[in-house]
Amino acid sequence: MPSCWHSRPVERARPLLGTIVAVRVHDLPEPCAHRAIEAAFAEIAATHRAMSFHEPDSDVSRLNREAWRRPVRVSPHTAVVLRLAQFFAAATDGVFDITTAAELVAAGGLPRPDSPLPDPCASWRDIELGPERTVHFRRKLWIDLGGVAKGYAVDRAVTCLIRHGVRQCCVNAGGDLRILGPAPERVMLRVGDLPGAMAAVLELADCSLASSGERQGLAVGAGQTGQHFDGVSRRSVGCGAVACVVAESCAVADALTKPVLAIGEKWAAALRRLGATAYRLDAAGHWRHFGAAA
Amino acid sequence: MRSRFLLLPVTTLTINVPAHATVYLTIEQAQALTFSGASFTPDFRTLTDAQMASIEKDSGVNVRHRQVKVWRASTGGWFIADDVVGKHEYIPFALGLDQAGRVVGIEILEYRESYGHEVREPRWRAQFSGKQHGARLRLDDDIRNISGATLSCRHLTDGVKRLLATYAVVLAQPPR
Repeated sequence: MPSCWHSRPVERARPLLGTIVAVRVHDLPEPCAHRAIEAAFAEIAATHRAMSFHEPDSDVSRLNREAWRRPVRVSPHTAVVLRLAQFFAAATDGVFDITTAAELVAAGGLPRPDSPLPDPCASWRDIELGPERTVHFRRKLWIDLGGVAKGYAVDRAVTCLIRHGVRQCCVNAGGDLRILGPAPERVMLRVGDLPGAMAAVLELADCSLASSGERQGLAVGAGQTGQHFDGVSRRSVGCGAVACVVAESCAVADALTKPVLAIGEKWAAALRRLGATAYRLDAAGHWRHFGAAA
Repeated sequence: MRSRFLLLPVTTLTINVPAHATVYLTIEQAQALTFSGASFTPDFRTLTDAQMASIEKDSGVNVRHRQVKVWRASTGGWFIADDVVGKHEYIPFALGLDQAGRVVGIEILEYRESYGHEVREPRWRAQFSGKQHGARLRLDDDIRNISGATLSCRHLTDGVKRLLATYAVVLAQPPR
């Protein structure tokens, strides 16, 4: 243990982003750690306010109500996340597609926004990112940033902790997490029973992990659908499979779990280009990994 | 950036989530963090049947405890310690309200259940123990984090809704 570490890490948790977010700091004295953690939670809360599908004043809600009629200006962080989302859509030929909000609403996973039903032909290609952070939808559509906003919030929180002088920390937003610092930490992948009474563990240093999907019989918490939709087929994917993606940025890891869940090894080249590694567990309980060398 | 994937026998793992302790904050620490510099005076209330019914109707959430553990902050505002039922265990949490009843802070005080609950259950682990011939737990397999099926915070947000209704029904009223 480095000598700069104090005897006990400081950890706090709050409900945010629809899940429990925990922030743990190892290398600051307690009062400084609490100040840094408070600031990190403020970053996460700001991401939540801007990008929540449920909050009526969020950028996402305003876009879903208005952007099909006229361009809507969004906050700088939402603009960054939208650009990221469009980048992932292009990189995955549309398998990652934030307009699958329509399918999620139809499946009961999200409440129906207060605007006309989406055009069934609408896709990520109908989202226009204009100058000065304006956004326009060329067709009636709904977007949901749930597939990337959690990862982005984790990245913001870690950046904030670094600004407060933290060098070893972990921010975990309901399983989408980032570990910063020289000391590796182990993460258990909660993926249901594995053959041979084994547990799948990832040992990580200075990187992020996101997980999507669930095995049969693994109950999820109240209000959670656990559904992901393939933006091309517009069908629910990954039933019984779990995808875990390791990347430097949590936003990248978060976004890539969806196409990995849907199609898996087809994305090996894209994962390598993005410096990401995927571990996919199929319904039969077998692990495969692909992408950048682990 | 470094990562490696391991498949480890379940019985050798020490699941240590949250790290080092299952208590994040004591009530006193949460009070100090929510209302910096304030002192606190207990003002516990016991709900009448009518108040409980009113809170349940306003919030749509069941009231489990008749006693409301409230403190007044000397700088203005209220600090309430309560708990909600998670999937497996109670989750103690604290809510800070300003003088107008607006939320100024939410802190989870303890979080034992997390994701690894079933793996830490002695009965679950015992089913594998016969295969290990008394192998000892190795502390260097300390697991500090869990990823996987997401947990919803719905129970906590329902708890906050219930406490906001409690504020409106009980605390906001002028003293008789």
